[in-house]
Amino acid sequence: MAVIAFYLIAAVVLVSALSVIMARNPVHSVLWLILAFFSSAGLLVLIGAEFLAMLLVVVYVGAVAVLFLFVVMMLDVDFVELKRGTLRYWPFAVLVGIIFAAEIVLASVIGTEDMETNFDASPGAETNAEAIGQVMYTQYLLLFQMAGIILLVAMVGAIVLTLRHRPETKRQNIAKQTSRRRSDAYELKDPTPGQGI
Amino acid sequence: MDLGLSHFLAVSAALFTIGVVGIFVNRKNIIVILMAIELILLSVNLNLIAFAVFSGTIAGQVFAMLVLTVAAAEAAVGLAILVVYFRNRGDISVENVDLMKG
Amino acid sequence: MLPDILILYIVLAPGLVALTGLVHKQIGDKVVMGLTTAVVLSAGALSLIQLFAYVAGLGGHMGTEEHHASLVAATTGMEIKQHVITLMPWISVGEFQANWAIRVDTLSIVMMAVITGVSGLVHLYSWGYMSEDPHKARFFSYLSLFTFMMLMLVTADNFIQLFFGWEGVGLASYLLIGFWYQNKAPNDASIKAFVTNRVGDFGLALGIMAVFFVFRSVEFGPVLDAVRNNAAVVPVGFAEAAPVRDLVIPFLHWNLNALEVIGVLLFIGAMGKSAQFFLHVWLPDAMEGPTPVSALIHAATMVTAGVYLVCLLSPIYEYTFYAAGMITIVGAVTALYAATVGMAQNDIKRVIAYSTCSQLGYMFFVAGVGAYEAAMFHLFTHAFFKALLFLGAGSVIHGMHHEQDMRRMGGLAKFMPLTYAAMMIGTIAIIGLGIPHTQIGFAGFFSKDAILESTFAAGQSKVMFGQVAFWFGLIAAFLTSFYSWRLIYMTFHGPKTWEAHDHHDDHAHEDAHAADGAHDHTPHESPLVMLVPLGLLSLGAIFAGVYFYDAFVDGNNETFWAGAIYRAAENHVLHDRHNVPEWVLYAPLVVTIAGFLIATFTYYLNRGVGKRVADSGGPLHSLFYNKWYFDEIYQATLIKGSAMLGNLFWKADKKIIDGIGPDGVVAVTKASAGRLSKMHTGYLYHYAFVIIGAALVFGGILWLRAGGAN
Repeated sequence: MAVIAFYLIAAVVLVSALSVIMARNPVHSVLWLILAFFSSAGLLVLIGAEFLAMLLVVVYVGAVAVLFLFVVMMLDVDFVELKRGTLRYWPFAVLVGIIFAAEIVLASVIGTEDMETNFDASPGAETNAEAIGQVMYTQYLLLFQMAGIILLVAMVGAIVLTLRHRPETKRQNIAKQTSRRRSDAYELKDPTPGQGI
Repeated sequence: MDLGLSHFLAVSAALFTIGVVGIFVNRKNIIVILMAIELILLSVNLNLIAFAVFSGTIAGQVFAMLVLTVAAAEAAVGLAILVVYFRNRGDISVENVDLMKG
Repeated sequence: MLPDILILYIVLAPGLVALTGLVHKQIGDKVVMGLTTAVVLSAGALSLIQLFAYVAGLGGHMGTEEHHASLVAATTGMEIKQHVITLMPWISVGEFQANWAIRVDTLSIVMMAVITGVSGLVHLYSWGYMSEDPHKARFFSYLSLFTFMMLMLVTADNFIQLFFGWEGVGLASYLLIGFWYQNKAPNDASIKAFVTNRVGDFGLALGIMAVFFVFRSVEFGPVLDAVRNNAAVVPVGFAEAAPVRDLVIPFLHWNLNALEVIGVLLFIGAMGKSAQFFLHVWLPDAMEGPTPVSALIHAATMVTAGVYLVCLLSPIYEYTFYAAGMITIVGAVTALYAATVGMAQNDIKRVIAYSTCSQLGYMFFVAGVGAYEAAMFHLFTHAFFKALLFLGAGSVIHGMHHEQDMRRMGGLAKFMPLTYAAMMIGTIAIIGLGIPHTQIGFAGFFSKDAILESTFAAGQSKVMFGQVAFWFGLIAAFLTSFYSWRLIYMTFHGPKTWEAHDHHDDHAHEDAHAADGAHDHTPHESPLVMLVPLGLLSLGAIFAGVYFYDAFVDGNNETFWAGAIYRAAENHVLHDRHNVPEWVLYAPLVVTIAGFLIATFTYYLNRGVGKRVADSGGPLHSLFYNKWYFDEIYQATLIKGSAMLGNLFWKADKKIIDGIGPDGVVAVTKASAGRLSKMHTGYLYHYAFVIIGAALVFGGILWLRAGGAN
């Protein structure tokens, strides 16, 4: 039963992955990518790693794919121009792909024929989330914090790269406003009549 | 047959290959290249989690979480670069960029 | 024997005082000149006292100097004890020991007296001769340096110190010949002297190495004792001992008698230093140096170092057959060759230079036949009259405002009477005028006759080349007389050819007077400071032969030399000369008078004959005038050959070795780097491709290393 589900979902994953790279319209590519993510989340649910599956959906689909969508829609791209001339790279790419696949298969499948079919996604606890929680904040605390720092750096990097100050826009500087003193705001001048400032 | 590790490994391998091919093929569209990279990362994640589940260790799953984190960060920065690149160039084809030549 | 401290002073003080030249700017030229002259003169006085006292202490002497000798004997009463004063260890590596030491024996006492005596007089003379030169301090310090080096050479206790002194005098000669280095000719001459010497030094160095190889020691004591006693020696690398006189060693690819090899190699060094045939080419060019230099170095001292070496190593040469024969024939040929060339020269200094070369030939051939005492005696007397001739010539040159060409001199007897007298004395000394069977004669008579008699006796005893040497020596005596009188007549007699050339100023040789503006060109007598040395040397030229004859070569010579010169039991040459036929005693006198007559006829009575012969340019005259074309032959063969070889090696080195080595590596690196840098196309997808390809390759390698498909 599980196997059948697996085959179905795996088929969806592979088909959508292929479509990601072959779609003409980049928006379509993104949508296919979202489908691929969802399906692989399903695969994970099948073996009992439901926490990770949800994490995949939230982070990948909810953040990364949406980000892709934003950018794709923001950039004004000429679709037709994009696809011209890609045909001649396909044979070579397929060759490389076959080599890669062969390598991976040789490396991973051949040594692992006798591997078990028993799976346990939550060793030492009842649910997947609990199992991960037991180690995440104890044994792997440092890694966890570093992951946070990486995210911080990425955020800062993204802002630094793309922020530009348009010269014409006016902005408020709240700190400047609240630190204004009476002497900065106005000054009294006593003009003689008929003279002006 | 029962659901086994080799199933997942096969799927993972295929995904990886598709991702690699995707990098090769898309010269004109850098967003698709980025998406292909995401596919590669996804395949790696699946691999990790599959191994972790079938060997009963939890470390692989934790690692997969961290890979997820890094993938997100990399996607963000990559897209930021893309935005700036588009601002300066006007298109997202990388075919003619050879300023680092030599 | 002087106390050790005084001997140390004689040897070392000139070296120390030479260093004052370094600070001449601070202490002034005159101080340097004064110090050096004072030191060397005092050293000269001390060593002469030592020599006289030693001779006087022997008892018998000849001549009219009894009162002088007895006076000295009464006051000093010294006697020789041959000993060595060790100063400092220098090299001590296993069996190879060489110390800084001063060997005091008869040979070194004689040489000390000659060196310091002549050097002191030359120092004094230079006060006048170099009075207008701006670099006086440098000159005097070089002279003192030379004196020091020569003294180190003659007092050496081992071959290495000898070599040190040998090279040191070569250096001093280079510095002094090239004293006026601003001009090209002195530069070239000094380099020529040094390089030619170097060729000889190669032989000397090989000889020293051969000595160490055979005797396992480089000290004179052990080496000469071993030869004297025919000790059994074990050369380096040999398994068993053999008596040294019969020893055979491998040399190149022959097996030769060890002593012969050593003798020949060391003599090659002597040939270079003493300007013997084949390595003589530097001596005439050395006349580019100032005249006091020529008098000191190229007449009295440095060029006699070779003779000294041969006499010092008399034990070795007594037991060689071919080496001694080589010395004899080379000396004889040089004596004749140089005399022929000296006949045809026009530069006053060159005539005297070739005369030196010829007299050195005499010394060598008589040493070669076995009469080393006669060689040393001739060295001793020759120092006096040759220095006298050179200094006299310097006086002439100085008085003629640096004119050196004899054709432009004449009639100077009236203007420089004292110089004329001195030159006369020197000439009579060199031609050896004297009456046989009596003790009446100038210095050269005693020494030269001793030489010719000994050589004849050697020829009778079938010593190799003895007869040849005698006849060559006799002919050379004839030529010596001829060219010496030629010089006197051309310089001091005859028409005043310089008057017609009053205006021209192209003095190509010495330009110390270049700054002079208008000065009158009439020749003038030299100042007193230049005449005093001339006077003292004249005394020596007249009386030295008479006074020292007995000690050096006659009755008392064995006591005098006291083993410093060795004679094998079979060598009777010096004794046999008393038994030669009568005509041998009179022959030198006859040829001398013949030379005098011909010279008088050609240059005094019929003045223009000589000039006409010279101008006619006959083959014989050209041959003699051009020094038998030696310089041209060497230039065409050796010099061009070495230049070509050097060029070949240079080009080969540049193209082949550099091409394969550094330059080649550079070129290959550049080319490949250029090609590699083309891989950076700048295209992102190329980079991505490379990344993936690399990942593939690495993955494959890792997989294979992990066990592959098993």
